[in-house]
Amino acid sequence: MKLSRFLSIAFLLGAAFAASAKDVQLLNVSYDPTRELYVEFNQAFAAHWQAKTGDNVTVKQSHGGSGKQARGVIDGLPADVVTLALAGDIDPLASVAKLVPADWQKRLPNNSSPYTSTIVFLVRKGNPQHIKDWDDLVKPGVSVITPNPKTSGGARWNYLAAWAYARRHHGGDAGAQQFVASLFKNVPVLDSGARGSTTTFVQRGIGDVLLAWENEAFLALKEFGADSFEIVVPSLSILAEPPVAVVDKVVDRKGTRAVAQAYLEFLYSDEGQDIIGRNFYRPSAPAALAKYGRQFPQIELVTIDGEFGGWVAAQKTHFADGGVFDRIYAK
Amino acid sequence: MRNSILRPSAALAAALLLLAPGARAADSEELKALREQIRLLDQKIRVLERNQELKEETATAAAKKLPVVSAGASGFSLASADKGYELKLRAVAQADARFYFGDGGIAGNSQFLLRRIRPILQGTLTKNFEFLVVPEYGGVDASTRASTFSLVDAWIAAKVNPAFNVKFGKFVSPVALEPGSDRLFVESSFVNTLLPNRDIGLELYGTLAGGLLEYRAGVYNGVRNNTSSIGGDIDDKKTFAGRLAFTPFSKGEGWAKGLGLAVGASSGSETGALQNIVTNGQQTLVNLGALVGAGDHTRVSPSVFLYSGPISFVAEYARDRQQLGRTAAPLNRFSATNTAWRVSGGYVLTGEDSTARGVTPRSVFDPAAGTWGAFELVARASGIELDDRLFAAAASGGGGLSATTNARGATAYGLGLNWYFNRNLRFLLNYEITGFDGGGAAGSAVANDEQALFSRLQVSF
Repeated sequence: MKLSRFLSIAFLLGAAFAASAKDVQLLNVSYDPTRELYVEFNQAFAAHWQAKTGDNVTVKQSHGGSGKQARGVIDGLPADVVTLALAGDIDPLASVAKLVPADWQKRLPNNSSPYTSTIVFLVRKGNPQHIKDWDDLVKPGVSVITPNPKTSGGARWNYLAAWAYARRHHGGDAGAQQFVASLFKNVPVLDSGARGSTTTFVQRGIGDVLLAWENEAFLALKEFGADSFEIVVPSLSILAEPPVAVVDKVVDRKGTRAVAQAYLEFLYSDEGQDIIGRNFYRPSAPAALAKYGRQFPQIELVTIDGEFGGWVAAQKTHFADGGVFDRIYAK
Repeated sequence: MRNSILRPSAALAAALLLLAPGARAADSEELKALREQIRLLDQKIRVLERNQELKEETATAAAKKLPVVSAGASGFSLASADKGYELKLRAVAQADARFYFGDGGIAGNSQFLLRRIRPILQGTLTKNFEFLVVPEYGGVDASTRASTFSLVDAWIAAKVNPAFNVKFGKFVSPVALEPGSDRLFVESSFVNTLLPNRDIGLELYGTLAGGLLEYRAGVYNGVRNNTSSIGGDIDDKKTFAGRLAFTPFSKGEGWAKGLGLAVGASSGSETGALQNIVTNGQQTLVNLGALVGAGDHTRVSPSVFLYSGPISFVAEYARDRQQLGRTAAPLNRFSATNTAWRVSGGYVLTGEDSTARGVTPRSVFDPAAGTWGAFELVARASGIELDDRLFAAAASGGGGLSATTNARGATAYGLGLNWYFNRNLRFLLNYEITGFDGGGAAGSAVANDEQALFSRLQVSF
């Protein structure tokens, strides 16, 4: 047998094995409170993909504090897609690990954010501490539950929403720093992620108020009943835009780019947007927004770009090592 | 773990406070204050418990990322927490003593010998890649008696799935059942003197039909019989080799579970010096120094094996056909077909299971405890038949080899006792008699029947 013939047979054998692989597996590395959303979404996408291509796709989910999850992907967690809490957590995948291109956020509509959310307060039934707005959170004796901004994307949204409010009502950035420092003095437990904070507040019965993702607050009401908790809508909050991205280096290595890309695009489809609205995230598509918009309270929302100059600047000023959060929390 | 002691204490405190005389006035300010104190106390306890819980979660998560270091009968290893990266350190050391009786006084064959001294470095990279590096420090240069160093194995494998994997480097050839070794005896039989040991090449391998069928197929440099390729292929022609092993009952139970059929084969073209054909006692049966490889070389070796309870049985056959050429005039070229066979078996006297890897004693060697390890009785019959053309006169187109300093064939019978002290230490003692067809030249290894007593102390982990 000649070498060329042997290699041809070997190639054909390899191609046959590859062609017969009809089962595809994706790993979606996401932040803490999206478990329920992606359980439902993954089932819908699997059915959609099978109808379209005949292939069986299984999407594995990994959840945790958004910053912590991003660190995991940089350290080798083989995520096909990331669906994190904020763009600032995906940026290092480009700048540090070169797993995605620098312009990753321009590849999908709405800056790659298929849904938005905001930050609200969840209090115990009857609101015994009479919490109505941010000022009530810094009062002595009020126990506030929020995760750690160093590891949790939701916590960073909480922090910045409080900062934006204080900047307006307590004398600019200097007053805001003092306000946020006072707020964190009232935080007895720092979980690493938003779901952990929900557990602390709802299941462990700790604290008077939980700074929560809007969807997480609605979910708590749905699961534990409106007779246990109430949502308090502050006078001002922040527009949270959780982004999504295909992790280029991983999908190219695994050969899953097409299905990973389709997976994220399906988030923007009518079916995807309906699932998003059903899970208390604010859809971006007009039809779904019209259907589910009434369940969301009207709040004045600031944006990360308008208020803080974008995530890169906010991260550097507030959350990087030695930043404002480190200084106020160390005190 | 949450602090479960604190919660009852708080409840007890609350009860005492409520029973206090001042607390009986339900709406009093004092009661409200006490209730608030209880609430705050309860919150403090809950916070303490939750923070302790988080601390433990963090510690547990951190522990999961720590490398795992292990040491045991299988060697020493260092692995990442997810086992994606692993480095194992293993070794094989064999100290032999071999004695020949009635050999007419051949000098230098009875001796103590460090047969194999091999540290083994084995590893995994990103779960899908494996490597093995095995140097040999036990070699001896036959002419200078100086120690030599060589690389026995050095390969890297990409593991795609059970059915399809790729290996590249130097590793055991797929032709022989037990390349370069015999599980039951100190030295391998005539079969291995006609088959390759290790070669350098690219191989596909895997298992099919749920593990019942094992295959290996690859392209290699090509190597002389009973040797290992050292690289530096002297021609551009390659050798194709493969092996199929079928264990039809391995998924079931009963005596046939360990029954297997296998066949290995190779086809290629080889030129250059040949390795002498040796006896089971490692002495020269046929000196091939006057001949060289000169073209096509094919080998086929079917075998059947059974490992059932304490019993083991192996039957193996080899057929080797090679184009040869004389190095002196007349420069004849001719094909020679040589064959060999062996049948060997063992019975573990102490009742342990016999496997292709060896015997694991139920109780290790510990005289103080009255336990002595495992003992296995082994026997082997083997033979070799060499092509008449090797010995035909050069003038008539043959190889012109001496039929008196060489033998045309041989048959050997051996018995042995293997003592397994534990998983890592074993002692083998073999006695084997070999009768020759032809030979008889005084001073040669084939002058008289070979009577060899071989022993080996082996450490492996």
